[in-house]
Amino acid sequence: MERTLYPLNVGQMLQYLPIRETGTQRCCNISVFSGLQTEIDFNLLKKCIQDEYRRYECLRLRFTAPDEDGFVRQYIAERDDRDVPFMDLSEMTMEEADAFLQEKTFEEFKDPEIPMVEITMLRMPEGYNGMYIHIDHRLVDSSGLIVMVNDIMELYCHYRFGSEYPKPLASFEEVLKSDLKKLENKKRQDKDEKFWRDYLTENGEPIYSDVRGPRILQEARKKHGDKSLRAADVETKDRSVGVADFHLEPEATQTLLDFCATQGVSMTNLILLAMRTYLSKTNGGQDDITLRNFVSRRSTHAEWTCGGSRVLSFPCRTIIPPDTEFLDALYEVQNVQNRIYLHCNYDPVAVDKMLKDVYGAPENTEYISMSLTYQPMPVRMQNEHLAGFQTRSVWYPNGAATKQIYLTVTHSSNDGGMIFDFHYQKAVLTYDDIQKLYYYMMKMMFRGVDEPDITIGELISTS
Amino acid sequence: MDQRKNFLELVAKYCEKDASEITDDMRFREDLGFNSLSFMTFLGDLEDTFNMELEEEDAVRITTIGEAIDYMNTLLS
Repeated sequence: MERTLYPLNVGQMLQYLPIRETGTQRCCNISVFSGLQTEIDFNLLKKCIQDEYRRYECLRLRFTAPDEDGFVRQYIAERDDRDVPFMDLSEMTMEEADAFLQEKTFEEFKDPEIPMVEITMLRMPEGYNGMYIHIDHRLVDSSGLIVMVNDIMELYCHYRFGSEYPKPLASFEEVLKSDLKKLENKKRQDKDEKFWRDYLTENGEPIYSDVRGPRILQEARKKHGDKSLRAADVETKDRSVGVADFHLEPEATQTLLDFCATQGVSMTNLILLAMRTYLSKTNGGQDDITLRNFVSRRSTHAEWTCGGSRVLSFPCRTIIPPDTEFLDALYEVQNVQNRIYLHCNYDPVAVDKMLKDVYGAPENTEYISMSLTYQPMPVRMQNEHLAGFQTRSVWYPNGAATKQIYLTVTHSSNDGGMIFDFHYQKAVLTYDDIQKLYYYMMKMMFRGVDEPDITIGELISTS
Repeated sequence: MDQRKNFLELVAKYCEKDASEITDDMRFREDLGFNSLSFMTFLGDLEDTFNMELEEEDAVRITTIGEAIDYMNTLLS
């Protein structure tokens, strides 16, 4: 059977680059347990997972071996009729079970042209039952994973309780073809390229900021013998990851959501403002801060349900003088983000290269120390037949931190509060650094929400 | 007429509604579920589909389908 080979889309390429750089596929793994605190009919769940391999085209993606330039291509296998393994970890403590699954996270999908996902049915301690999904990030991003889990459970509810059969999921191949066609639109590409060039140069070279203060940049200046250097060295050898999770209560979360709705701003921008204000505080009031924002580029209905990795990241640079009121600062972040969204079809790798080319910062240096991804959709069993059960969703880190601080904000599946999940490089930061960051972010956000006319300078000096 | 139909079909791709259900008074965010990212992506698609150049500052102020159609007609006339 002849197969059609496609290049990776720009989101997949962003995931693939760390594999090329580190030589291990592990850094591209996503591993999640998703389950309910109730009995599950595992024979039925197995049928639903096998159905999902047919319904969700992206699960059948295969990658070729890299070509001489190190690039892989992809195709969709026609079928995947494999068995679904089952494991019983219920005799373990939850801590032991999590440690066991954490270890499995490190397993690589090494060979070319093999399935890049494994779904295992699990009986867990404390009465939780569900599935462990171990998957290459190029097949799904977090939104794609949530769509998949919800779809499997919708199938389960259909067969078990007679609820409506879920609507078909969009074809990954069709959306990929549409993405590739957009990349061939010369006029659009030229326009996006011009935007990014202007965006990266309109305020001159960005400047690094770090939660540990200005000494990091000063050390880089000393090391490179350049007193005007504006980028700092990043840790590339030891990428071991630390995890710090914080839970914001539902009532407090609602206060932030209400504020965003009233002011017509997004939660992403509110969190970005809190992050940049803390960096400003720890860097002597520096008003020029650049963060990296990751967005899942899913806008049309087909893009929402086609799977694949559509996560892109772009630098979000804002220059906010201290006399700017909190609300105006928030609108400034929003304006920058909106401009970026209009041009986010462009290849983020090309944007980073453009930044390097324009300013010529030394190898392995960066302007950005913190990254954010905000995920508004919870991993939640939405079907009414499952709504009453306690859920458990655990994202196991893949052991490789490619960013100094990567904050993922999600909404809790149980109480609707927000979870701030920080992954950080243990080689350079401690848990205390992250705890302090979270503490100040919350303090600044709630103070600003309470007093929107407070200036950023006052917020920094009184927090 | 075709222009309006094509416009509504493009909007329908972004929400779970059929083009025939979309009316001029519907608001992009509140009624059709657009967020900042999907709205800005939609504007880019609009430019490509109708081969026109939007003024970013004007375009982001649009709230309803009717306003968008009027704005588009002005640019294309």
